[in-house]
Formats: sequence, structure tokens, C-alpha cells
Amino acid sequence: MLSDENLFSQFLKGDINAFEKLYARYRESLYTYLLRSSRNHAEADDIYQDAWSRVINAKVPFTTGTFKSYIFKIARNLQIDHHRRSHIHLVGDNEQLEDIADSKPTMERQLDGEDCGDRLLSEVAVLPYDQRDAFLLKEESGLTMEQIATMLEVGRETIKSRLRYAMKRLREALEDCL
Amino acid sequence: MSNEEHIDQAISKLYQSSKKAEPSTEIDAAILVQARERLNKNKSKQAKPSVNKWQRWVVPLSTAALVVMGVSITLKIMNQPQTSYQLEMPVTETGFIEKKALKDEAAVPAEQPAATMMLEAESDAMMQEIQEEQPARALQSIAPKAKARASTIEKAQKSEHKKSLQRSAPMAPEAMGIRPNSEVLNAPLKESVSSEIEWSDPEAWIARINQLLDNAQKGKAIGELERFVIAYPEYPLPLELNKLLNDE
Repeated sequence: MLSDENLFSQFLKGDINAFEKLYARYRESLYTYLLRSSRNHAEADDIYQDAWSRVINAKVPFTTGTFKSYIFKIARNLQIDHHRRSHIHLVGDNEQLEDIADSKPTMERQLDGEDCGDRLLSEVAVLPYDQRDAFLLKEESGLTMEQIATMLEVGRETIKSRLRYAMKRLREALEDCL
Repeated sequence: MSNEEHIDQAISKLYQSSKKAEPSTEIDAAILVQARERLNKNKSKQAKPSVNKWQRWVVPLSTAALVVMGVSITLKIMNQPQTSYQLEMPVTETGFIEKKALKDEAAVPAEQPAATMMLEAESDAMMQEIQEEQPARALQSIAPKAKARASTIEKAQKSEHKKSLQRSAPMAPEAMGIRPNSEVLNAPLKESVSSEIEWSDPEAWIARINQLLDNAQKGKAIGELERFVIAYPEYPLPLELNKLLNDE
């Protein structure tokens, strides 16, 4: 099987099939990352399309890292720009939430009979932005902690710490499921 | 592996098992169309012949080179000292005679074709007669005509010889030991001669000079004689006229 990087360079040389394969590989994971990160369908749609448009119109192949980190970085930067323009604060729990993130307390959801999967997604949605971002990048892109640290231009320990806090909150919320 | 790590793995497994979100088919189609358009654009760009830097500068450089060359040549020509190649006409006392001779020479070709054409027309008429009549009879009838024609040709040859004598460059009067007075030289040639026939016929001119002498018009006769000598320097003068000229 051809690597992402080979497919991308083949696409730049004029092979549309290479692009279709590459698109299929990242279609779900990238969109899921954007939707669960932004928690807004319209915003996720716009940023997803814009991110692929940047990839398509790239003049030269990326020189460092992998295609995976390349496209996720594009998507993340676009999302930050969008939030900056819309004056949405992503640093804490005071984010604007949509239907995806149910802000109901964990106990209430347990009483409603939600399964563990749905409860996990709901808990992820209410995580602070940095923790949620680190968790989603790790789960959706499959990047290692070092790769995520490089991509976000922060130290490996910072990412490790964010992930530790995120997992602690999730463990506490899903105690009865695990 | 600690208990926390086990739980983290379980959370990760639970997350991966959850249903993934998918973009709409419209978004998928839009992205794939965009990718195809980009590739088509690239192909059309490649199809265009690329113009390298040299080709782009060929026309302006050639134009500049031409302008520089033109200006330098013009400046060089302007800075060169001017040389006059015009030959000056010799100023001699016999200049007017030379001019007249040149004029006559230029006029001759116009006269000659007329005479030649007349002769040609005559010979054509004779040839037609020969063709129309019997050869024997034709010879008899043509004989007198041929005689007349021979005399005509002889006359034409004589007149041409005279004309050629007139056209030959006259010697300077000084070279012959003659000092013509300025009045004679400055007077227009044609006015001094009584008629065009005398001018063209030296014998008639001599006769005219003799006639002036007989009529006791010695001054006029000497003037005419001087002009005659200038016009026909090689013509042998009668003894009495020669003597008259030397006395003067």
C-alpha cells in the first residue's frame, strides 16, 4: 500500500486516483475531529472544505513531517482563525455549545439511560479546549505525543499533561462503564 | 502496566468504537471536483509553450541594438570631412562652341531615325512591288528607281560626313595662332551667321564671306572669317582669305 506522502506527490503530478485514495483515508477522521472539536456542523463543514482546498492548491509538497500532521495542522489552524474572527473563546469551559455537546451533568445522563459511548462523547465535548484538542488529535489522527507536540509547537510534557488531565476527567465520568 | 493505563486504553477503545461523523456527499463531490479542476489547469499550463528569459528579451534587445547602430553610423557620417566630387567645367574662351557641339550631338539622334524610317519605308514599298509583279518585269521597272535611290543614299552620306565634321571638337584658336576679338566670341553664334544653311555648309559660308568682301564690307567679312575658322579649324582656306586673316 502506498504511503500518504507518495499518494500526495502522485496527485501533484496529475494523478486524480491518488487524491481519491488519500481523501478516503482522512475523510472520516478529519471531519470527526473538526466536528467534535468545534461542536458546530456548519463551522465543521466550512473548515473541512477549506482545509482540503488548501491541500489541493498546494504549490509544492510539504517538506517536513507526515501528510497526516500536515492536513490536521491546516484544519486546526483554520479552526483557530475562525474562532478568532468570531470572537469565540476556546480556552475554558465557557465555549458556545451546540447540540453535540450535551451540558447535562453526568448523573442525569446516567439516569436517562445513555450508553457508555454516548456518555464518553458528551464528556469529551465538555472538556476544556486544550485537553479536548489534545485528546481528539491523539484519537482521530493517531499521531504520537511527540508528533502532536511538534504540530502544536509546544513541549512534549505539555501535551502529556493535557492528556493526563483529560483522561482523569473521563475516567471519573465513566467510572461505572469501565 | 498500571491500572490507570488499563482504564485509559479502555476509554480509547470505547471512543474508537463510537460512531464517526461523516461529511455530506455534496462536500465530498465539491472537493473532488476542485481536485480535478486543479489537475486540468496544470495540464493546460503544461501545454502552453514556455517562453524562456532569452526569448522574452529578443525583440527589445534587437530594437535597442538597431537604434544604437543607426545612431553611431549617422554620427560617424556627420563627423567625416565633406569631400566634393563635382568636377568643374573648364572655363575657356571656346566654351560656347563646345556647348554648341554637344547640343548638336544630342540633336542628331532625333534626326537620324526620321531619315532611316523614310528609307525603310521606301525599301518596304519596293519589296512589295517585287512580290506583287513578275520578277523580270519588276527588275525592269525597279532599275531607274534603284539608281535614284543610290543617289539619295550618296547625298545622305555626304551630308552626314559634313555633320560629323561640324561635331568634331574644334581646336582652340590660340593654338592656331589666331586671337579672336572678344566681341566676336561673345556674340551668339547663330546671330552672326546669315542663315542656318551657311552655318552647316562651309562652302556656302566661304561664298558668303567672299560676297561681303566684294561688297566692301571688310570688317564684317573678317568677323565672319574668324567665326568660320573657329567653327572649321581644319578647313583649308582660300589663299586670299588666309592672307586677310593673317593681316588682321
